[in-house]
Amino acid sequence: MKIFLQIFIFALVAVFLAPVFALLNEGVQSLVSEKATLSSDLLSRYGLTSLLLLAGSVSGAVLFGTSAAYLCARFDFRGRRLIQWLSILPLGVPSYLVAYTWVDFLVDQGVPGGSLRNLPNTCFVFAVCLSPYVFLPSFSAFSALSGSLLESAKLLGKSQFEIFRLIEFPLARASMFAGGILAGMEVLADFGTVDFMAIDTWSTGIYRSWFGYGDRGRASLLAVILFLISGTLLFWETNVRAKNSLARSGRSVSFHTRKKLPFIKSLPFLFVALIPALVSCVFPALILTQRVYSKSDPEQWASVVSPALTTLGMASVSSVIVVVLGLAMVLIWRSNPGKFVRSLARIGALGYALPGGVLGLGLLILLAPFSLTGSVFGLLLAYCIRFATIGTSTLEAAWLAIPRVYDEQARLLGCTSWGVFNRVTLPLLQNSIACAFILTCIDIVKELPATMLLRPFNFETLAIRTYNLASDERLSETAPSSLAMIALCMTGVFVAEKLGAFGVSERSRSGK
Amino acid sequence: MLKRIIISLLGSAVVSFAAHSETSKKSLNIYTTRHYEADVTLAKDFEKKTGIAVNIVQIKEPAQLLARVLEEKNSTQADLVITTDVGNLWRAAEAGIFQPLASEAINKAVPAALRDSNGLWTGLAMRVRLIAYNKEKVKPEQVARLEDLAAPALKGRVLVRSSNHVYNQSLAATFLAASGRDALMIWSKGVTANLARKPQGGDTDQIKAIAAGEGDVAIVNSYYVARLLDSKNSADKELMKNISIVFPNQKDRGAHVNVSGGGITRHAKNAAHARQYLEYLVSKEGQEIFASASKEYPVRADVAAPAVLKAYGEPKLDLKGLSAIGNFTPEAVKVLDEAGWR
Repeated sequence: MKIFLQIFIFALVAVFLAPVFALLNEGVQSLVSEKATLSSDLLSRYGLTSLLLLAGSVSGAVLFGTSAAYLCARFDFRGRRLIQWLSILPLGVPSYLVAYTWVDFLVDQGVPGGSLRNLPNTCFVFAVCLSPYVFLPSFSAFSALSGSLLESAKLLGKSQFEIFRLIEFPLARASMFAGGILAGMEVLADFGTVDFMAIDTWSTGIYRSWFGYGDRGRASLLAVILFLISGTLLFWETNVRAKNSLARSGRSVSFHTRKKLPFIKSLPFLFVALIPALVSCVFPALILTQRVYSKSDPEQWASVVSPALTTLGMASVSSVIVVVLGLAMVLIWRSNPGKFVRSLARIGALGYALPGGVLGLGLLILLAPFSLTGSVFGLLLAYCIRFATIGTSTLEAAWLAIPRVYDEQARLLGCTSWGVFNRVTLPLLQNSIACAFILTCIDIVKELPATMLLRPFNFETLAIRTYNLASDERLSETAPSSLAMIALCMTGVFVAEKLGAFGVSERSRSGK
Repeated sequence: MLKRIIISLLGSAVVSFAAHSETSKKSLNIYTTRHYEADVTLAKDFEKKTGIAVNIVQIKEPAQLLARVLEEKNSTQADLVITTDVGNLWRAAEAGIFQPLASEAINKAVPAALRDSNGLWTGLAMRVRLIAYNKEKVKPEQVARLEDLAAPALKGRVLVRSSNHVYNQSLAATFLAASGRDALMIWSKGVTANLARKPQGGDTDQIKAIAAGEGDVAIVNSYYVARLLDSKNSADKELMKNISIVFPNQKDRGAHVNVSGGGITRHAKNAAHARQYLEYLVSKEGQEIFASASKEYPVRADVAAPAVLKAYGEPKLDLKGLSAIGNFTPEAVKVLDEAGWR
């Protein structure tokens, strides 16, 4: 059995990493070329901008995400449930869409474009869009703080601020940090947003080498470097998470109660907590809706129907596969295969750490010999490689929460190991499975570069339609497809939240 | 419950894919970088006339499109590759993805300067990169040549998009071919020193910036100007109220021009259909659609330029520069990098 599992994991990891090796191969070949290419001077400046952007965006995301999480986890006030939900909402809107909509809107209001496209504003866009990555883990961390610990601190005469500094913050720090790293990886891999905001990052270096200098090899090399950096971040995140779970184990479960916060007093906090949702969803949705109505052209919706169906179809099928793969991983972990196989499985999930357009090139090199480019199957494979992490990490987290005793008892009662999986693990994971499915769907709906490069004939998704209209400088006409995309993703976020995907809903707190 | 969810979702997926799987016997498969409505109109019109189903994959970045054709090798589904920018056509021809067009109709319709010298691709439509300026603050003779944009009088007034974009890369390549590396360096340093703001946004954004008073002069493509002039939207017309345009370098090499073009792939399975389509695109009807729907300049002499642009005269075009673009682009980008033109 064990040997089968190992072979399975090896095969999976080989498939997942193949595009990266393809790129590495391209990159190594470019080392000997003598062509004109991007100077290392410029490249280091791009790298520096990436770091600044990373620092600004991640600290912003941590600020927004943590304040909302702290507020909602530790206090009770009117509208708390709403804030919880709103804090997750930015997950449903791609950052490039937020940038397009705001800049276009503000320029039309007479704000000079030159004052909008700059580093601080770009950081702000990322901070609001990526804040859910920090909100989700810190909310669970703050919510899980032991009530007795906080009571003791209070009895010992500590002020609210000291309790935060000495207890709440240190215990939630690892979760905040882990969320920040995921946000950071998104920032590093982004091109659409930074390109629109006129910020030159490492990704700009990659694409300028490829499209400007016609140097595919060099571009691949730079992409592999970025992959290694992001990969290191991901490993760090996993370690932080592992440590965090150690720190919490062995603690008796005694939930704290939320402190009542009068409405007036809650106002300033509410304001900060609301910024991400307002900036990334509510206002853009209003702006876009206004645009759709002001055009009053019944045709404009018709053009969105087919891309919407394609998007939905692709997203649901790929997500089913991602979930099944994730379950396979859980099954393997459950069988306790040893540390080596587990870390191998982690490596396999690194597809997340590459800019989509370059991952697309790697996939292209990989799929073309099998005539799989331009096929739905090839695209499905691409999505699975890119988004496998989401499935595995969501399911892994849920699986870790199932006490091992359940398995043992089922075995004692005569279940086979498959029986345990089928009759114990699977039913307990039901909600998480649905959540992993929805989260993957949301990311696929937003995916652009790999789809563009690998798609079949006459195949258009909402993201592609939006992007094409935007690159034809017809931003105002992107409204219907953008709105459809936001609506799809927001529905997904809503359903996922109801299912307890984010560990935020009340049901999961009551310990069922 | 989960089973039901999965089944219903898979069901919806199957329905949506069914829409994609209708195949007809006579077909033509196109890879294109062009994302304009005009191309859809042209394909539909061709379909109606010939009964040949036109299937399109659109990949916005030419380099990515080329990568796909190259990697697919002889199993590529593409019969025809259409791309903007002559530099990309040149790269595609260099990479050996085309077969000779071998079409008398194309040779007759399209001037030799707008076709590949080895007969591997043909131009389909042209765009001119011109100078837009604020009528109240700039005299047309101040911006008669691209070179003038580096003049000290325009300090803090010039608007341009990033050199990450191919429009500026190709423009720099023709500049390099016409005047040499040193001249390009001096010019691009001069332009960079004159900028009203960091290069950003698209061409329409530069026009908006003139209207908003952020700067007075911009380099933009002809069809964006034409689209705004012709727009039914009153706000677009309002933008152009104080803006006029100049075709630069009329007394020397001519205005920088670029072409979209296409070629039949070496491994095309429907080469005859591809040829037929190209012939249709360069026919009078096809060219009229290019001129009216996407406001590009036709490649045929006997089809009129977009009406709104004709009001500004018949430009002299830098056709000689066209052949230089492909070869000179990497070096030109290098110069732009060194000059600090982002």
